[in-house]
Amino acid sequence: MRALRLIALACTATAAACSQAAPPETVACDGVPRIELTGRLVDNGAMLDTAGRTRVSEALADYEVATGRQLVVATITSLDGLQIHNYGHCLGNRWGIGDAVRDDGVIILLAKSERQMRIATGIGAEDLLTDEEAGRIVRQMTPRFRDGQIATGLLLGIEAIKAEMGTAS
Amino acid sequence: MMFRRLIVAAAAASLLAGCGINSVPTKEEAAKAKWADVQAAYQRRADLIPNLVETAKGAAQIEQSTLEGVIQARASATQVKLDAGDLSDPAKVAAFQQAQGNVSSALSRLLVTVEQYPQLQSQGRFADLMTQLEGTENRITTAVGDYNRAVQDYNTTIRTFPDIIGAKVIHGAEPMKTFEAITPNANVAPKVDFGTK
Repeated sequence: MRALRLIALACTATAAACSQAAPPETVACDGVPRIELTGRLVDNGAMLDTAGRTRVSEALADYEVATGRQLVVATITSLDGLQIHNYGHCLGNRWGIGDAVRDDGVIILLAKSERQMRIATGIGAEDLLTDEEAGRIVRQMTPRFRDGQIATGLLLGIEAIKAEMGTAS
Repeated sequence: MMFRRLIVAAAAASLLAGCGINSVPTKEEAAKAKWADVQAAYQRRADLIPNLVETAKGAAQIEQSTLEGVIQARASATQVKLDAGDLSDPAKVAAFQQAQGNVSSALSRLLVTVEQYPQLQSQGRFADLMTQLEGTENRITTAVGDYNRAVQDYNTTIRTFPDIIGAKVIHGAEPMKTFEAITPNANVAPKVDFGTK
């Protein structure tokens, strides 16, 4: 019986050693730091004041209630040489934004130092919010950001995304 | 004594179960799935090109040869298919890579020409198409990177003990080829910038 138990133990140990863990993370995440998802708004770049944060967080919560979809706004201090599209894509995947089946999550990412922004979409959101439409929304938002009206620009973007994507059925 | 031998046989089978019998096909499937993403990204670019060329043609004095170069490269690339089953065939992989690389180079030449027409770049329809092209090129880069990573993962698995046992004995697994993507100058594609204050 002892031999049996030893063999069983050896099997388990070997199987554990062989079956490697999770598949490798997407290349888009190369170099992207681990950022904690603390809410629908993650203002790590400290680009908003308290009132602005409240307005944006509320708008994001309303969006979720109204559409049944998820939208997250993230700001960072710097891209540290990374591409903003990779950064946004990575955060969306790591945080698992959007419905697991529909994959219809959207992230608006703002990089403070580089003065760049990106709207990143889940695969399931690509047809509802195409690159072309996202590009147009970005071009509506950026004049506000240039004037320093970060919250106003974001609210404008959230409304435009809501109008474009509609409600989840 | 017979009983003991049976136990050993069962133990060996369960050892192998974790060592290549399951992991090899799983990783092969993972890499093939990533390849499907690569193909989808290239298809997306192919779908975009006719519109891009039409709009460029109507809007600026772009040399006919530049536009024709893009159309021809796209047409030839559409002929070169690479099924997931052929990913261990270096010649077929190289042919696909070459065909898509030609499209990338032709697009680069078009983008360089477009740069000389700032009014074209800011024009609504063209700006939309450039945004789409940029998104498409980003998708190609990511898809190719993820595919290569999955291939490396698979190749390492089939060459490393103990998975190599399952890979050699049971699956006859062949290493897959990684893929080199040539993308047109990413920095030529428009950046969405806040601009300066």
